[in-house]
Amino acid sequence: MDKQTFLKKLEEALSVLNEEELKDIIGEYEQHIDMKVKNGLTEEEAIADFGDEKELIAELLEAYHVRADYASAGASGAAGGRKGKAQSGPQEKETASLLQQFQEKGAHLRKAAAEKGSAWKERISGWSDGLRREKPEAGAGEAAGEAAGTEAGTERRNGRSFLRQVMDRAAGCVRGLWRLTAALAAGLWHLAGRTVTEGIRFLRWGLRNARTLLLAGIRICGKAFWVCWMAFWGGMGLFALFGLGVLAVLLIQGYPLAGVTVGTVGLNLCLFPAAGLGVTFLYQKMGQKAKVRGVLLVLILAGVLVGGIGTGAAIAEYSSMTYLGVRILGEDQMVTEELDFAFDPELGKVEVLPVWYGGGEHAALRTDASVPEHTIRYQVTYNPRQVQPKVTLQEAETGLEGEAADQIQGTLLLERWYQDDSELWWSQKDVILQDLKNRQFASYRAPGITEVVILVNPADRQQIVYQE
Amino acid sequence: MNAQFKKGVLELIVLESVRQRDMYGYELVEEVSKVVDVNEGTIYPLLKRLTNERYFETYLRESTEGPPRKYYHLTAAGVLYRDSLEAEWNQLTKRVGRFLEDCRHG
Repeated sequence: MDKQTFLKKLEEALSVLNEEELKDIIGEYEQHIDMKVKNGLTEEEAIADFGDEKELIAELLEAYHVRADYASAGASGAAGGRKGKAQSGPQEKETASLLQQFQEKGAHLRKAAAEKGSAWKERISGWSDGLRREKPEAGAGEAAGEAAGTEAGTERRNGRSFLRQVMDRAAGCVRGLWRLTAALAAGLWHLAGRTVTEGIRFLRWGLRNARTLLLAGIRICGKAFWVCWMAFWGGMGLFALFGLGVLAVLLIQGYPLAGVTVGTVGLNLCLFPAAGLGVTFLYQKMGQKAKVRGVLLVLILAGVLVGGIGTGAAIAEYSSMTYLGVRILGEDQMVTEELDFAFDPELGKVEVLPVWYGGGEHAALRTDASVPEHTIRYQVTYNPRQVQPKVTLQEAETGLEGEAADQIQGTLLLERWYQDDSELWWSQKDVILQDLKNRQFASYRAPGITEVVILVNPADRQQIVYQE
Repeated sequence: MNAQFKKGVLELIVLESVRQRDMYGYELVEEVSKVVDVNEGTIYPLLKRLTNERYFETYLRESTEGPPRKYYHLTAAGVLYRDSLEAEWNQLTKRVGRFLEDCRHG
């Protein structure tokens, strides 16, 4: 028989199987025959090595749990109708196997429950039998007492028999309780014994299959590692991709981000292939693994190179930017206000600090005849969007001691009450961003108070304590 | 060798061969033939059955010598099944050997 005839016969005999399975089987046999022919045999010799054809077909059908005589029972007519059924052959086999396992497990449990139940039944019936045996003895005692004779004797005998009944019943209860306790203890002991036995059996099974279990465990850990690897690098890649999108938009807007953008492209080139490497280790069925890994490694190296180029470009970009020095934000919003503080010279001198509370700049003290007497004037230049200055007299904080300190009525402080400056920063953001676009940057400050001058009338100068 | 003996042990030989390394059908037939002489045709139904029972999984690998070859790979369930078969085989050979020994010595 030649190859084509053999394969045709095989195909007809196995037509009950689904197309994919049939194609797979025919393909394997065809490949096998071709390899044998390549090694020097004829097609007929190669086919003869397969053995009896009917036996072969029967074994193939048995692998799918199809009856061996199905093929000879009008396959061409029946195959069309039964093909649908056979298509689920492997699934049916799996379902049948699972059902069988459940049935076996159920039978085992039922048997175990029946054994337990009969053991308990025996113990309980023994206990109840013990109780029942007490009653006839009490009844016989009563009958003996009633038949005894005289009334007095009858009464004495009845009393004794009643007492005896009570005692007998009590003894019966005690015996019954004892038996119940013994039955419970025996049941628990039996249960403990079975648990230990099953535990030892499980341990033995574990030791026998330790190597297999260890290998399986190592394989599972390996797969889990690669899944985590993929998730980590893939997640980082997504963040980098998001960042790339943001940078691309800002670059188009004119910001000096070319170097950083190129660097982020390099980062993306590294992260996604790194995640892809995990896939090649995770899936055994993947073909040409070495080639795929090679491509991924090349991509990673390219990503490193591009990242380096981007970093170099960023350094060149930022080192060419101009530094504008200190830039005060909101300079056009500054106002100058005069805050007057009237004091009573009778109460003592007033100490005035050269710095304002929370500030750091020096507040100069000058005399000015236009300032009313017994008045200390703070001339404050500030941004009302940021702060509101306020002058308050507080307990003397002077470093003076002795008589000089006793002459001080208090220390005058300039306080800064902060306003919500978010509006200031929001209105000034364009200044900062425009500087960046122009490849410039500065140290941006938004001081609330820029200048303070303390003015007093020349006649009050002696009343002021001012320590430089 | 007795055909029933060969039939009984064929499954174990096939499982062990694939456990050593993934193989395709023709390669496996050659490997098994080194141990026992069997009809080559009976290997493929056995491979099919073991694949349907999830002891093997298959994948295609390109070949320079012709069409892609279907390789068989032993699953974790297959490893456990092979180990249980080996244990049963060892127990059987031990008991049968002891029985024959006892019979020989009366």
